[in-house]
Amino acid sequence: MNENILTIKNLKKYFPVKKDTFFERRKYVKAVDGISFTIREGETLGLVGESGCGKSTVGKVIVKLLEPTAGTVSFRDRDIYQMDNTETAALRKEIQMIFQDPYSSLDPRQKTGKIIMEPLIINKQKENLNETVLKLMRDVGLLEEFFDRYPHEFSGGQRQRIGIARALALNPSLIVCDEPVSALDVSIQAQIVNMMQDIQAQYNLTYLFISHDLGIVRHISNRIAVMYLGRIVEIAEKKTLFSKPLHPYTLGLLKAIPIPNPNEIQEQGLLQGDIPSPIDLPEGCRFHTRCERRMDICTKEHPIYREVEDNHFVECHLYD
Amino acid sequence: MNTPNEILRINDLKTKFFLEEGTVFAVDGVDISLREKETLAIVGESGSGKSVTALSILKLIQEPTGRITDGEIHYRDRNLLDLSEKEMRKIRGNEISMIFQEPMTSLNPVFTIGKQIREVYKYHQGLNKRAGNRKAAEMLDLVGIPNSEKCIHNYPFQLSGGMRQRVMIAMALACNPRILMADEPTTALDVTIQSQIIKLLMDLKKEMRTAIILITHDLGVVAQLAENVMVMYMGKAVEYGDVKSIFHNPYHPYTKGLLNSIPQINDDHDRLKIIKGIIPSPFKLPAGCKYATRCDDVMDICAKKEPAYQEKENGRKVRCWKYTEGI
Repeated sequence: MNENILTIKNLKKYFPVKKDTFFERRKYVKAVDGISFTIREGETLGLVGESGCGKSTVGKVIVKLLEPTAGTVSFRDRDIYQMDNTETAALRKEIQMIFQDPYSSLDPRQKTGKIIMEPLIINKQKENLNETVLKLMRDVGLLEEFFDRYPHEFSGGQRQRIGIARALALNPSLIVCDEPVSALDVSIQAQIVNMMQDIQAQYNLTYLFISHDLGIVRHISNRIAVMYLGRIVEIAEKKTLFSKPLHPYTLGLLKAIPIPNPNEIQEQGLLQGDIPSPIDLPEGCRFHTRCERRMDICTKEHPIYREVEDNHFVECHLYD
Repeated sequence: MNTPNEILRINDLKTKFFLEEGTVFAVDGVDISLREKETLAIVGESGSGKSVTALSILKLIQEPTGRITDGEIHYRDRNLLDLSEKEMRKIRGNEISMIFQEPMTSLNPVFTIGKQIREVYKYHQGLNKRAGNRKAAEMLDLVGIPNSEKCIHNYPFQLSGGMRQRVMIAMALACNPRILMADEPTTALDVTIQSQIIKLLMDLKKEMRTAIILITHDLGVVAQLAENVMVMYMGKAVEYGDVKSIFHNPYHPYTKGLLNSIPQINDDHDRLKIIKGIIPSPFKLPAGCKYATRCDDVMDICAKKEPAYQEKENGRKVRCWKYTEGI
């Protein structure tokens, strides 16, 4: 098996909530509440979940945009939050990010070439600057004549290509992709996903692919982690997860995807209710309020995250 | 009216926007026929004109920038385009109503849910506050909101996205409309909540006489809900047919491309099939077929002349030279 490029242990990230009165106890949004997983060299790990489950927070902690409340994030066996400035500078070249919204993540006053060039200039890699940028542009499918154009002249898909070229500029090993195609039209999504797979092979990249779209995640990932209210409830190889999902939430998610086939009319609305607030988390298992297979123990005790089969982790009392 | 039970017939609808950069032909000659209780899905990518089509039906196009320049919209026995604004107000929300995509921005944040639903009854049926509240609570029950009596006193921010969308649906259905237009009703929602809303729409279809025009880009939602499908590209309908024919035997290369670009649940292909290129600028439309620049089956004639919207078997229609005889 490949080596682990990133190891996350017991990661927590809490955000304080504004107090209404001085004497009130401080409350927290527990966006990420004690998760552990690894990403292997060269793989694509899909991270799925509904809004508010904490998946984007995980991505931001990995690229050091947010400090964790507790836990460790180790990149090639070095804790990234124990590094000194020189090491951090080197690390930032290794881990890059692609953002969701191609409209707000590019500086509207910089030309395409300048945007892609900026990381190279900051890191003093100024040899053959223009050629490097043009090669990056070709690799992500941008025409050379776009070099002197501004972001507003492009469609969403092309802007996302610019964002990807910028992330590639420093030749990183790991890219955190936070919903990279969800703002795009279907036909453009397919183009970007294909291109991302091409550059993954070409640049030997590892992806953490964060998305709520199980169809896309299934297509691009090797392994998939499912998050619910700050916890990873299940993680498995893609095929296992889709053919033999263990956690009731994973099953509910899979059954909720509308199948694009009019001959297969599904039963809808299997998962009832809304996601509880991450400030007042349910006691016991966080999913018990919506779970069809709830047992007595689920409302009282938090289940333990355990490996039930090879490389198949699940957090559910059904498998105690 | 020629088809039985037809409640909406649109002929050659054209809506244009007059902008500084030029004129945009947002809807460029669209024909629609809708029967009672039918669910018609309008499918297309952003900029295809599907939302503008719906707004045109309600005559909600902002003048003078935009204008319906041509066509007829026959609702029952009247042409909506001949009606005055006053007469249109009696139809909007009463006989034809609409659910918008963003449930947060479509509800007024400073009024309670009850007041916003009550308004529909007050305007169209002259009900007072008490009667209106009672009807509002009934509607909220119908769309599956727990504690409806309490919910009418809540403000939109106190509800989750899925609940807000249910409120929007309750409001749209309040007067038991003949036609409900749903513009991307599930796009802003999480997948489990989307599934709940699809179930709600499926149940409502069984119970109510309402015909639905479902506007979406999500072909999964279309397959689950619609009976007939119209595919739009650059302001024109390019294909129409019943949902099974469209999904299993699509004619138009664009329809095929859209269907192919969805990641299939059961395949493990390494690459997705794509539609090449991007949609052309609305200010520089290709002369012939609007899809010619991206089409895999392009022929010489495609770039020169626009194909006609041809009738095929079983009421299907397609706009493509490949299916035009005698060229």
